[in-house]
Amino acid sequence: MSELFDNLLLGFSVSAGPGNLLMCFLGVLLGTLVGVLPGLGPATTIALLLPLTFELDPTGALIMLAGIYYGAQYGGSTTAILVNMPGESSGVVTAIDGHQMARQGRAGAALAISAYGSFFAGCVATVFIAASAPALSELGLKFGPVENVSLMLLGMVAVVVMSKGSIVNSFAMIAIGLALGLVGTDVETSQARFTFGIDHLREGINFVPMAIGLFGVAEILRTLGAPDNRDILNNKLTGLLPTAADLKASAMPIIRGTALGSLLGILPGSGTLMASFSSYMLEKKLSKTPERFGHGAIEGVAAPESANNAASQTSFIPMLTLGLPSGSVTALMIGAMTIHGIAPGPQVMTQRPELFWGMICSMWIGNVMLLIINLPLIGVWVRVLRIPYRHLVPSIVLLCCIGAYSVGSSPFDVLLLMLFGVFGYVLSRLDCEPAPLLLAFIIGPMIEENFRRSMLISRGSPEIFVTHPISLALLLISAVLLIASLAPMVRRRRKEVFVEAE
Amino acid sequence: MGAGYFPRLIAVLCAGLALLVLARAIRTYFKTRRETQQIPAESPSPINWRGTIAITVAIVLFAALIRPAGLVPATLAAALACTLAQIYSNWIERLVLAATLSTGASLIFVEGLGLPFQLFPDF
Repeated sequence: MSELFDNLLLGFSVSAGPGNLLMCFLGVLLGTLVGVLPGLGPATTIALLLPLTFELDPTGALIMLAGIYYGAQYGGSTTAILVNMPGESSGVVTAIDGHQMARQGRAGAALAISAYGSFFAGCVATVFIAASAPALSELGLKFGPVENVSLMLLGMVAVVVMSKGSIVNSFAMIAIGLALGLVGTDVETSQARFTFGIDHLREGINFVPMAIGLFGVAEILRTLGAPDNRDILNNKLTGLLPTAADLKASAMPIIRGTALGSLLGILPGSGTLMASFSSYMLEKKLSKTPERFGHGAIEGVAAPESANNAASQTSFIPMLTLGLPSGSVTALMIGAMTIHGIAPGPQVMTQRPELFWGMICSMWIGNVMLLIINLPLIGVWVRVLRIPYRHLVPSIVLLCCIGAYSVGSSPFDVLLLMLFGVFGYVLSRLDCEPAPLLLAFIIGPMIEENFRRSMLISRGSPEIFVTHPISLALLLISAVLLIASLAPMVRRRRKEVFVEAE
Repeated sequence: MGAGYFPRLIAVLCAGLALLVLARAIRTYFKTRRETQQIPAESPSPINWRGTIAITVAIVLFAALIRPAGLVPATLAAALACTLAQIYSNWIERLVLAATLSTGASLIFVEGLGLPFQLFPDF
């Protein structure tokens, strides 16, 4: 227990230093600013703002990125409530009752409850991470290359099973991501693979233009096709503070949402969507007046918002302790860590304790900032929401170009950005999710390295993966997950969840 | 375990999945045709060609101009190309928007963040 206290103390001493505090503040502010823009979810926001963090030291960069993430998440809720245009899938649930509340003139209460709920969830999730991370990290340190391969395989299977849409499509995305990850010089033999004689590809496909293209540019191409039917409430926002009755009605949903969200967030895949959706359903079931849901019930905002925030925070657990990304956001964070020269994995906690605990504590500080920045600034966000698309599109395209170029000052990266943007648009038209692709692109080289080492240990026999007990257990879990998701009953239920969340 | 082992593994995986996706697409096609007695529509919403081409051209212009000409011409050209994706009241609005964004980008990224970009071409 005292160890936990010491760790948190170290974390706060790092994250509360003036430099990192400023990074956290800037991250939350910029994250909210971009996240508020309709249609731009957290993954897009992080991809767009990633280049801003390159000049910083690794700790500051990760703290800022984490701040951007919460900011974007909260900005997305603001948009969901005010305009009924959620930037990401988990905001969809908030929009159901939140937007109804806004139409009844209670937008202020909905926004405030969402902020309070997120804050409470953030506090609990921070403690949850601090308490569970060391044990998981220790487990991770016992893993050799054999276990790592099986673990990464499990991670990918879980992402496929939990992502929305067709399982075959998601597997195809994984395969393409793995293939793209192969491009570049092979580490062991120094042979160039799939570079087609292009010098720029010798170091592999640059991760930043790829991420900005798949999320940012593709998103713009998609919104250009859709009509601009934003239904912004024109009446002035009044009554920012929820009434005592509102607070009383939301207290239990916030607590239940937090608990559910913290647990679901650890699972790979779209943990935040599952969390907000299932906590909404739970509240509807427990409510004495379920008919109010969908017509502006405050519980319908409080529960999913807390669950969503708790899950987005606990989704960092597999990334911080095992180096395993669990979705597009954590994949982006791992990409950022690699750019800063930190190899993600269980050793981060022991080798870079200041980074590890600093980031965890900055999560809590970020949540405090969300609360103090956002409630007074709601007026500003509403004005941002009113920027017409025709002014927004060129600004975002320029941001994408400058971001892609600034990584390596190479025009080739800007062309890559264009290619991946068009590719992402094609994918979205084919109902394929870019998240598994990005994830596989990040994990691919790690799997290959660990796979080769395992094969060296076993002298070329793949049997090694089933004779090591931990590895066998991980493989069995993957198999069970896969078979279960293909079973007709689960399949129907899964479809139901995602269709209702649409 | 040479450099080609893992790529081959992934190639087999890709090919297998491609066949699976193809088989599924053919099955759905014939199923809908049988059930609705019509040739299935290609896609629910039309592709926005104008927007896609305008944005693609904008990014390529940026890539082509940033090295030889600098940030100001590159952003001006890219922003103008982007405006072709949508409907504006007139060309003055497009020009004003492009000029504003170009100035803004120079101020934020070069003056503010200190990125080592050249602003104008050398004469």
